[in-house]
Amino acid sequence: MLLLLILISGGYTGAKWSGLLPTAVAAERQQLQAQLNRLAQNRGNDELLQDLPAHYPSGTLVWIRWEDPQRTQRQDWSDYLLDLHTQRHPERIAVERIDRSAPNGQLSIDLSHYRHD
Amino acid sequence: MIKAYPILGLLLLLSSYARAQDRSTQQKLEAIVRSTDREIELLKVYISDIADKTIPEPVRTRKINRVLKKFDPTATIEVTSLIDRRPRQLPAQRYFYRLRDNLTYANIAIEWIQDQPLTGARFSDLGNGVYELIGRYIQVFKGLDERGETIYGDITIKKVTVKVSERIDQLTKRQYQEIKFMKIEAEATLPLDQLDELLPQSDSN
Repeated sequence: MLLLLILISGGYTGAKWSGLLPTAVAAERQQLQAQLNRLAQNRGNDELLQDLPAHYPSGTLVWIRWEDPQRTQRQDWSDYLLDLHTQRHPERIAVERIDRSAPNGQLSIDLSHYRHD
Repeated sequence: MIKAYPILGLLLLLSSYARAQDRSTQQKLEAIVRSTDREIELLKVYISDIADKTIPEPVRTRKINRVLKKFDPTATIEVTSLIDRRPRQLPAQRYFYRLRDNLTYANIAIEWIQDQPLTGARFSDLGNGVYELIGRYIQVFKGLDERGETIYGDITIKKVTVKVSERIDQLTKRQYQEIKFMKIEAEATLPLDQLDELLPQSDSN
């Protein structure tokens, strides 16, 4: 019961923090993760590249962590997509967080990249 | 003798602290080299895509705009040819537009063939979280006719200088690495048939 209460309270805090209900946040995160992985594994696919930028406003920042915490890079959303479209060595991508809490309304997406085994 | 123990202990402590610092610096260096290697990998593909006339021009233009963000605004790229081997220095922007528009071949194939990582490259700590790395790569350039036959080819040894800065985002206070290409110099230009001599010999043969 206590665990349930904690989960419910955590979920609503998260919803307040992100401006979305938790299930919607998780669904958005999973959908984005699937789309990014598809783009990363289909180098040069212009259709996928044209589809994705419109999902988020210009000015959206992407924070990319490369397998260790010392390698975080910051990129604009559309620049990041073009790098994914261009790269030859696909990586596995996990969407960690989509954050809408910045006071200036700027959206941040936290990603982790892993080498493909 | 007993009085010497605290001093010995302090020395041991200092020595292990220095070793830990060395390890941390080494780990940081390795992380920077890995990040830079990935940017070099991307740069190689951007160069060959921008030159590739089979890719639609709007996509190539978008790639130019993107790759230029990876360069410092003052960055230069040297070009050479077998006819004139003296390097000519171009601003990065001019180099990429020239690559897309001004070369008089039906198509161009450019490849940076050496997959050698930057490890072992010259590395300098410039202070204030800024590092400089210099690595060398081999570029193969082929000018092709309408049938895809090579009508001109050369090899250039490229020396690449990269600046890596530790930065803090003002809004979120998050730390990140910014990697910028500072210059790409041409150290030597050679005919295509000398490629085998430049490449390390494979052990499998």
